[in-house]
Amino acid sequence: MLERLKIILSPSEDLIQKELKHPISKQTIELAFYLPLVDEAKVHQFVTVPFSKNEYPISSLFQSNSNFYIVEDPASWVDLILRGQALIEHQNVIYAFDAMHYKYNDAPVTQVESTIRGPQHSISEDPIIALNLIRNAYMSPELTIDQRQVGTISQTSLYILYDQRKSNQDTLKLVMNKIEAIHLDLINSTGELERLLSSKKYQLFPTLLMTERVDRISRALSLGKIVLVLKGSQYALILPVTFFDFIHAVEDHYESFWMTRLLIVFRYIALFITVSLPGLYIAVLSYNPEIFRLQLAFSLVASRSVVPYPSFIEVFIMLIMIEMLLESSIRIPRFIGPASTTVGGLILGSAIQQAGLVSSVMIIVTSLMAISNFVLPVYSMTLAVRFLKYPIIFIAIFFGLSGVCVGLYFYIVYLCNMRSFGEYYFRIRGKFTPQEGDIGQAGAR
Amino acid sequence: MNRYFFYNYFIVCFTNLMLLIPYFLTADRYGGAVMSIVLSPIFGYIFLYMFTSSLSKFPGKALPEIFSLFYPKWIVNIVMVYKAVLIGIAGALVISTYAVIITSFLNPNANQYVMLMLLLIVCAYAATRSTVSIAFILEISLLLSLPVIAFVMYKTINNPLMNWDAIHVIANHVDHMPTLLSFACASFVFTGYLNMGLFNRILPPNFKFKYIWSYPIIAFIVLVITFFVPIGIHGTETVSQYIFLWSATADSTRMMYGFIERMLFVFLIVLINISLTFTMVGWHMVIEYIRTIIPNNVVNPDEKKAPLRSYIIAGCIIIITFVTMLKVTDDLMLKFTAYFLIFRLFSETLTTTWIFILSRKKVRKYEKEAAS
Repeated sequence: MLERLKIILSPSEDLIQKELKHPISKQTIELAFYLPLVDEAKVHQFVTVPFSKNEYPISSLFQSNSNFYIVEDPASWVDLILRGQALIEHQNVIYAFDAMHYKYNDAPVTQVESTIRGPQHSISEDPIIALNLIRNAYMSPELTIDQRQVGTISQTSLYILYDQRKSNQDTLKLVMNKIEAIHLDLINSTGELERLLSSKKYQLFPTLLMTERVDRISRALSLGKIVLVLKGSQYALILPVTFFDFIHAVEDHYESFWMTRLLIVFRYIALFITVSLPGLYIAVLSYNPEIFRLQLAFSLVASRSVVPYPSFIEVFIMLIMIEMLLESSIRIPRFIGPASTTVGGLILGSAIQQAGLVSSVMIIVTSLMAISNFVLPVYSMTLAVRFLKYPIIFIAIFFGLSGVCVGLYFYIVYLCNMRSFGEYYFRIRGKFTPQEGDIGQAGAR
Repeated sequence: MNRYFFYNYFIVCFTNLMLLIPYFLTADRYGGAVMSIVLSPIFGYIFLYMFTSSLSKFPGKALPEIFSLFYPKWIVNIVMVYKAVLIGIAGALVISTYAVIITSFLNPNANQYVMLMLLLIVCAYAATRSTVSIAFILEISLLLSLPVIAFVMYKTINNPLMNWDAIHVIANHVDHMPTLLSFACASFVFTGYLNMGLFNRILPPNFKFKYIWSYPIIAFIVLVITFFVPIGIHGTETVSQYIFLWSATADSTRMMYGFIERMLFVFLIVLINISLTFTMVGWHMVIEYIRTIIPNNVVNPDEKKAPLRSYIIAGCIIIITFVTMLKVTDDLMLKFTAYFLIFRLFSETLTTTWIFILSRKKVRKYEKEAAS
């Protein structure tokens, strides 16, 4: 049985295949199951322990217990083993033993990527629970799980998951090489791993997607992507990714079609607002107030009339404030979290405007910018985008509106130039037919 | 993947229309301008067909590779330097014209040279990227600009100030023989296919140019709009008084609703995008052409990291452009642009015919081999 299973199933670390031989009775059994999918204690209790104690003829146990049943059709093996059954061969008879164990109740609730109607559990810090959830969500014999140890002292287990048929072998080789090349004493979180694996040290955008959601992971696997699960971390890494994956929330598949499409458009608008709004504020008020229609320009300038310094100082005051607020609300304990928001957002915000230190339009700009930033569904992209406005502000101070445009253009150039593990990071896929071929193929000789 | 050809074709079309071409054309509005606009798509289509049909005989090969199939290294080098200089000048003209436009319309207080330097640096950085990346940038930036350009054109045509009689008067001057300059200007709009001289490298091996008949038609419509709409807005006489004709035309359009009242600013923001992209594509071609001259060059359209030589060439382009622009006045630039356009007309005719002959030669060679 074991030889045959080796052919059917992709070689995977979590597939346990054992041949047990009893020294006295000279009986042998063969045992195969997926470690994360089964309750190992149950297998021990019902199979291995009675077998090693040689309590009674093992075949009578198999026949008397209703949890065991005989499997006649080898074609159903894959199906059974993927459903958490342990397959046992004894004297050329194959039994299936139902040791299935769903670990949904052990999984924590999603913290960062929450949805309204999607699954609420996230993967766990315990890799076995995480792999159980993933294997249950992606029941394919092609799903391969490799294991590596990273960190010379911490020896943290790293599980590399991929669909054997769909994933790109070059990417896989690249990732494996990168993992082998990691030389670090301690690795505690996937964030650390993300930094080590990304190709360049100083890059503006994430090239790996960090997620805690099982549905996102299984969808990524079905698209031929590679997933890294680190022991002791509640987040998995997905690679290679494109920019558009970061704008995409899992909920887009669950909710009504038109609204989710519209939401994606809104996310791009939010992205534009959060990156360029402070820069545009400076550019418009200090260089080209005549861009806006007269009434609007008047009210903008009038709201600034009490402010005694140029617009960019105003922007800096507000930006520093909002960054402090965001940072403090992460650091302080949960109980007094709302207090800091109230103090910072409501009291300080209105007071600073009444004191004439900052114009009321600037308060609107700042809050709009902060809110738009959190519209983006993936946290690592939220963080990356949070940084992007600062270069735009600097260029707006010196070059005005044209500077903002050039800055945004530079970001487009930068994005198009990025590659995530050999995959194009920012491109419009369009309609793609294999007969026609893709650009860049002829030159890649 | 025909869309990548589309983008390459229309980036040239839109850039030239937005900058100095309408000025030269309207200067000749009582002369041969209308006739050259009518003739140029035919001329443009013939050369488009010749160029694309010959490129499809050399799949995955750019101009340097094609020339080196037939000629010794030194001839190829001379041709490539010549082509690179020509394309480089086009890019430099566009970007420095745009720097002038910014300082006259958007930031009158800013120093023109500081602005130019910013644009040059961004363009040169973008140009050092790999060819595949350039194609993506081109796609994104055109897709972002095209709706806005269409909007600007639509609003300007629907302008209540539009005087159709003026257009009628000018259109009646169709019976004049085209002058050299106006024909060179009009036909320049149709020369976007020359970008494929480099971008042929990234096209897949079994690539077929499709729908090429539609390209000159669309470009012709755009050309007609850009020539006649300013005449309708400004009148037959006043139209020649503006150098940056379309900026002035966009400025005469008012948007009743919305934040921005004057169309000019929308137009300038699109224009920055378009002209940066045009210059980026042009200078990328310069970099790739010059690189083939330097020994030990590795041709890789999807290189991970730009080699040092790319940066050096880009730096040289920046310095040459900047130093030249320090000396050149606006007036001189206009004259130079006119000469450049005429020169380019002849040069492109020559190159396209040359490539066409080479492709027939290759076909004949294979036929001979097959026969023997």
